[in-house]
Amino acid sequence: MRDALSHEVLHLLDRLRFNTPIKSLHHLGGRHDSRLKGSSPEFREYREHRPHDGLHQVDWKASARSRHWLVRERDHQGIVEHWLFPDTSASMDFPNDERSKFSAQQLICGALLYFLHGQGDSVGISLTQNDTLRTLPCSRSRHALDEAIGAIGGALPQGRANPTQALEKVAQVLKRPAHLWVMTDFDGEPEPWMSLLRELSEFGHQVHVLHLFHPRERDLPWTGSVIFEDLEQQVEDAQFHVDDISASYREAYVQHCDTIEAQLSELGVHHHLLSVAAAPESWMMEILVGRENAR
Amino acid sequence: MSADTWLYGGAFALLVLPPLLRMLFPPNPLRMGFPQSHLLQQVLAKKKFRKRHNPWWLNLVRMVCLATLVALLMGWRWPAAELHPSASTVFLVDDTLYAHRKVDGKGLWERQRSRVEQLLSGLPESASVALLGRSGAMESWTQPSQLRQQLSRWEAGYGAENWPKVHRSLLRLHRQREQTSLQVSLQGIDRSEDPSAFASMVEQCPSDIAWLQHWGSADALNQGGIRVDREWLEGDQLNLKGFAQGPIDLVRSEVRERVSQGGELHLRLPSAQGAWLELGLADDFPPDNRHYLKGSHQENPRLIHFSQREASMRLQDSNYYLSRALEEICRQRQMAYLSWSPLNWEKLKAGRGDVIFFHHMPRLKASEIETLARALEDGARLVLMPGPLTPLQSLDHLPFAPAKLKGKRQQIQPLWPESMAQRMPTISQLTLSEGWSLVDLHRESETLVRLEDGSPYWIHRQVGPGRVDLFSSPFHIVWSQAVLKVDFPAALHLILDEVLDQGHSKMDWIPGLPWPRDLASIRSKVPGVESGSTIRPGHFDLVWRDGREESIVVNLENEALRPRWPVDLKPQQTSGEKGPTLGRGSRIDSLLALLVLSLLILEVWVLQRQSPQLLRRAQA
Repeated sequence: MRDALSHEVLHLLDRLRFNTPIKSLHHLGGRHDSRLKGSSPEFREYREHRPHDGLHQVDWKASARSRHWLVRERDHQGIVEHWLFPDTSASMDFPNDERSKFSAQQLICGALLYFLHGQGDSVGISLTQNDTLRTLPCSRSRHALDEAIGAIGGALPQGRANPTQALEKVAQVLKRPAHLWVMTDFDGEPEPWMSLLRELSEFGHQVHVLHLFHPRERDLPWTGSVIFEDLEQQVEDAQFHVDDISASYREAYVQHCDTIEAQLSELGVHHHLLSVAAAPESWMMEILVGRENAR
Repeated sequence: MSADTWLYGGAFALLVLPPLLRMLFPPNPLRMGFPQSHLLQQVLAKKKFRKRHNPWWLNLVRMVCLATLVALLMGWRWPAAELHPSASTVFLVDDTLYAHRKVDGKGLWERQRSRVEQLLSGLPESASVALLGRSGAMESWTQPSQLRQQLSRWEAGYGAENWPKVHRSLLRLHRQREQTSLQVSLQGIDRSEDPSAFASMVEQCPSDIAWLQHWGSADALNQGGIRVDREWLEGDQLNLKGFAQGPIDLVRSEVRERVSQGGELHLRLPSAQGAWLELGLADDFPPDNRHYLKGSHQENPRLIHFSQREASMRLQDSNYYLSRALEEICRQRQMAYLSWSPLNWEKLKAGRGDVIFFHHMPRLKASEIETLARALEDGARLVLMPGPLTPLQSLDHLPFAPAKLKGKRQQIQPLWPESMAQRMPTISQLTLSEGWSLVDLHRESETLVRLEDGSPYWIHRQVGPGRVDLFSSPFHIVWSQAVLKVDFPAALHLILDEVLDQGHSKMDWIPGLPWPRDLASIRSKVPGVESGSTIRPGHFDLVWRDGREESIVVNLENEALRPRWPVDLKPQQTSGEKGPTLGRGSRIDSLLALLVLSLLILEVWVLQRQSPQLLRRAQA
């Protein structure tokens, strides 16, 4: 996978650093703040108690004075978990050439894995192949990185999309907040995503949705009569004259993307709209640098 | 259309129609996988779109254009325009030599006449009609019934095309019309010797003249017409000296070309024996000006003309022109021309190599008959041609005359009178040494050339070593012209060739004329005569019998006077060259071009609409 990344991308990844608001439970070699109390007693601030905060995190004295449940925030250095959820449905195999959405997704996954592992974070991946969920747990080892890259490199776009399955499975085993990198093209109704993402966000996970699209998918650049087959065979084939529908479709597609972005923003989820026709370094700049806490 | 045309048309349609029909319908839609199908379905559910198939009217227009194009390519013709009954109508007919041509067994002139009569019958009696020939002859404005009568009296074939004269006549008719529009119905064949002259004539005519093209196809000309090509005169070079100063017309069939004559003329001719020049003098009598040219020379054979005073009683009679022609022929063939009056006939001493030409045979004295018989026994050639005043019984007193023709129908009469028959030897006693060779008149070998009705035109009989030739055409009312026509000079050349012993190789048995291109070979059935690569001037029709050409019918003015020259014709495999069509052309050409152009534009438009899908389908 490293070979597939261009020199510009690797140079870019070496110069970037991903800063996360998540407090790490580990403080052995990590670059991020640790959540372990006392290990780094430097006080930062009080904050309101959240539903998933444990009782042991409550500062009882401060809470008694203010008559609110307050949690003491401290600065800690530690390790953060990153989970990648690539979309392996058949709709990612568009267009059916080397610059498909799936191949772009493979590059993005590889770059992220390489980058996050280089920061000392632990990375895990969960994807569906042949209707079987395959989950590689988070680890900081080199072996785990190679296994994760091999898993995404050997995956094939096939089957129907079941985006929430892998996410739900992983969320059940996560005991603490982590970074969840969800890659999808939002083929289909976005409602199943939103409810799940709301729960994950409320739990404290940092959810990053990488919305992949191809310009042809947006612009519908054909003319004449075309029969469009659903790649996931969820809806019937549609035959029409593209000239008749192209304008309406473009408008609907833009509205579709805007709706998704608005809903994700409302949930506090980071949304990145990535065109697979763009250069790979631009993807990483959008993902890592475009965030307000990246530097 | 012939079966071949249908066959080729069907094969062409089988090859062309499937791809064309396939192109009538839009290509199959491109099939592709697409991720956002649910979004497409939502858009489709919100709005109904019209079908983008080719509309039915577009397919209908294309089908009609396609069918019309195929029909036109297969020879279908647009129906001729109808005459407007209230307009003044001029029928422009072809009254030139071409009008004699037979097309599908019927003369072109008869076809034109029947067609004009048919058109006249469709006009009201109050309509103004006129008749105009391509030669310039004109019948001015009259009523249809009167024009029909005048048309029946018209005879064609005397003139050449004269478009300037037609233009002047047309302008005169245009001025004389009575406040009505003028329409010109073009009859005949879509062919002219000078299409540009016709086109310029049409251009110079007033623009309010409507040209209605009722003529036929020029393709029909190949069925019988001779087109003389100038290339046929390229061959051996002949240097002619000694001609009088003045213009010379080189006559090649109906085409006359005036060449300059400065005392020396260089021509390229296919054969040294085939030159026929005509001096462009003003008296318009061909024998005065016509010169038959031979490339080879003979030592003083004689042509003895038994000339009578009665034969020259009129200023312009056959004997006058015949004498002039014989003089010129003898000069050309290096023969001595002797014109003997009746006083000297008894003194004749002729033998082999001499030709005795007897025009207007009188009652001969016994001594004169014996003199002629002696000449025949010595190998002389006796040519008999009755003149205008020749009594029908005169042949009865010529024991060596092989035949005589009598009556309106020119029936063959018994040759010998009873008085003579008693003197004649029986067949069993007949020997060559006795000087007579009595044979059956109906033998094909004796009647070399017959007229259309089957009666003999040229009969010959061997009399010992000599030979008698009888021509019958002068018996006709147009006897004087018949002498002048090329048939007789041609036959005379044949006789002279035989006498001079020149004609047994390749000879121009009808001199001075090029060979029709659609013939590969021609073989004369006249005994002892082989034909060369030339044929007589004018027009000819091929007479078919049992699928083979049997003879050539020469056009003369009267249909009864069309000698059939028995020949074997071998057509070439390739069709003959088509004659030049008139500049304006038939309307179907412009219509065809317009239709093809429209169809192409339509197809480009349709293909432009369908090209993205066609390209994608090719890529797929």
